[in-house]
Amino acid sequence: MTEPIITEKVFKCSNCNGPLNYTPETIACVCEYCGTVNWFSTSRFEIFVIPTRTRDEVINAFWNRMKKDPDMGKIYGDIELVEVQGFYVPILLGDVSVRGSWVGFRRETEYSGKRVSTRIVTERGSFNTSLRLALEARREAMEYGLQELISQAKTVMAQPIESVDWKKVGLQVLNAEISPEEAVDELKDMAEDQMRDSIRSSKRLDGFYYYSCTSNVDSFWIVLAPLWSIVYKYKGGMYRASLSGYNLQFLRVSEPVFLSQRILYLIGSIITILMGAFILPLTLLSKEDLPSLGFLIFIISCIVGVYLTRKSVSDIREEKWK
Amino acid sequence: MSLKQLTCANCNATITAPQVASIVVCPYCGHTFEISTGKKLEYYMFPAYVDSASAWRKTVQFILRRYGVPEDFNTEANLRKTELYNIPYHVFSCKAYSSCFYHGNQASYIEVRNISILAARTGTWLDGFAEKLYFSVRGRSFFNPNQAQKSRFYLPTLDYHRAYNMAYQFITSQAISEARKSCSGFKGVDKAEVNYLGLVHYPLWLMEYNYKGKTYRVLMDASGGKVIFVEYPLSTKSRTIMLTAATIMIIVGLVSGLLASFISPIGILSGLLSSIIISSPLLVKALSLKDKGSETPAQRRLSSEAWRAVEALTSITSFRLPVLE
Repeated sequence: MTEPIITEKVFKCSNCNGPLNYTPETIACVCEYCGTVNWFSTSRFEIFVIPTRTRDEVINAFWNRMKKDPDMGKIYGDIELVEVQGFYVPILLGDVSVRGSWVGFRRETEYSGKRVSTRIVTERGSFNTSLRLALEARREAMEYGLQELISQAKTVMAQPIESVDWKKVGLQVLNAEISPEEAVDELKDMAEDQMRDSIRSSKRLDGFYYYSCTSNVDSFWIVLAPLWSIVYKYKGGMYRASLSGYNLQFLRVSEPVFLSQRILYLIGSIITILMGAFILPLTLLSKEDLPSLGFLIFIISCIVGVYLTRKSVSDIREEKWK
Repeated sequence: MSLKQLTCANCNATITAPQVASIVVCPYCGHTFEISTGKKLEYYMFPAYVDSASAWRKTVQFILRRYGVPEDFNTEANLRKTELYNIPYHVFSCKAYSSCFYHGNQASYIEVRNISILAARTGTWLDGFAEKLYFSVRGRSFFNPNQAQKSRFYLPTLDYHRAYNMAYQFITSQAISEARKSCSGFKGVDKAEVNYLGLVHYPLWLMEYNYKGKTYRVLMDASGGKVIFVEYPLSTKSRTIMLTAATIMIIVGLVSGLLASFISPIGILSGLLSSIIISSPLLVKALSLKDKGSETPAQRRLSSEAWRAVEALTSITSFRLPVLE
């Protein structure tokens, strides 16, 4: 005898008996009907939520932005809204205290007359501080505007999960997929890397002889952050925008490139050609030892030029929230 | 292709699987097990949220926003073939500790990564993209026989021990390279942990369309709805515009170079060189047969060495598996 086909394992909410979106890796599942957290793991997180504005408010915010934008305002009437979709993305937040010391080096180039000399400067220091970190609590996932949403979630006051009227929200809640043990490790890894990178850039170092960092995760919790993704059409072409449901902030927007902008980009790249043509002869002419500087400017103007030329035939302009 | 017959331990159904398959997903109940040991493995799949009609619609909408697409594209382009592929990945959660000694001081570092390794090759051009795929943020689910049966459903040919070794190799090399960034002393990996999370199938739409007698290819993420790769025609008008613009740029380069050569003879060279470099994106685009685009910036998840290892291993068993009836 063959057993019946098992396509889905049905789990029900412990509070309202509503069906849960349980998936194989689920650790916690927030019931979309009543907001009860149903646990599928022995170790638990605290879960908070960032409330979302309604779908209508999101749509209004989209139209307002387009109307006010100097470029998009002109084609306002030709824009067509295709898709508006929102979901709660789980974001892992943690406070990590880091302590450690480092010895780094920096190469310094000196020009004295015709002589160019390089010397290596050693610097050392120590640190003892605390970091607030955030990362997505799903595996290997990508979504338009997700990175921006994560950095916003760090600064927003999240609320207890019961404070949301789940019957009204109607957003899909994506489940957290990292276990608390993994969360601690990921936060430690991130704290180490972030501290090293920030020392490197603030001290303008070229590398480390030594860097040691002891990190301790003081606390961590999950925040469900509302991500709204919008698809709109202009002249048959499709463009995306993503918004944070918290404050209707645009996280990322792609916009069409207009003819006038293409022409501006081309003019820009022609200017870089002129720069490239004159900078080498001019620096060679000078009595001082400037050719290396001239060569550098030549390369930079070529890179900027290629960038502008590519922009002139690109399909979208992208704006990101910082 | 040689096939073998197996019995599902969960539902007793007879399963036909290719000889090279190392893991089988029962097409009836989704029970997933290793053939050599019979061990049950965790399994889940990403649902194809995008159906074939909207996949094509999204593709057209993506192409229409590109620069230089012919005006009659919408009416002249005909979808010729569209097929759903379910591509398997082994997913691991990995952790490694490395340490380094420098003048009597010891520092240790932790490296944590989720690693997904492509578990079968389709033998088609989509493999190159499948290697670099990022999963969609949307929910995944249990086995869905309907989606599996309507697609080209690939069973893993790369067994999970080898995938495990690759993940191990990758996380340790990653830990060492982290240590290299932080410390100049003697480095080593102290401990590495690799946990197998299971097998996952990811859906991709592979499409082909015709435009004025030529065939163009499309690959779409069927879960996230994003265009991974697309080829499209360029209009003669746009090619002419781009060539003209490139010519103007080179002329500007030449003229300014000639003027600059009054200052120094190198002027003509620098003018010509910068104009050719800067106009090259236009020249390449105008002279290529088909233009290409993507909505998902290609991001290599694995380092190049680790990928070379993956390629060496999977090419041994590169093979097209049968479609489930």
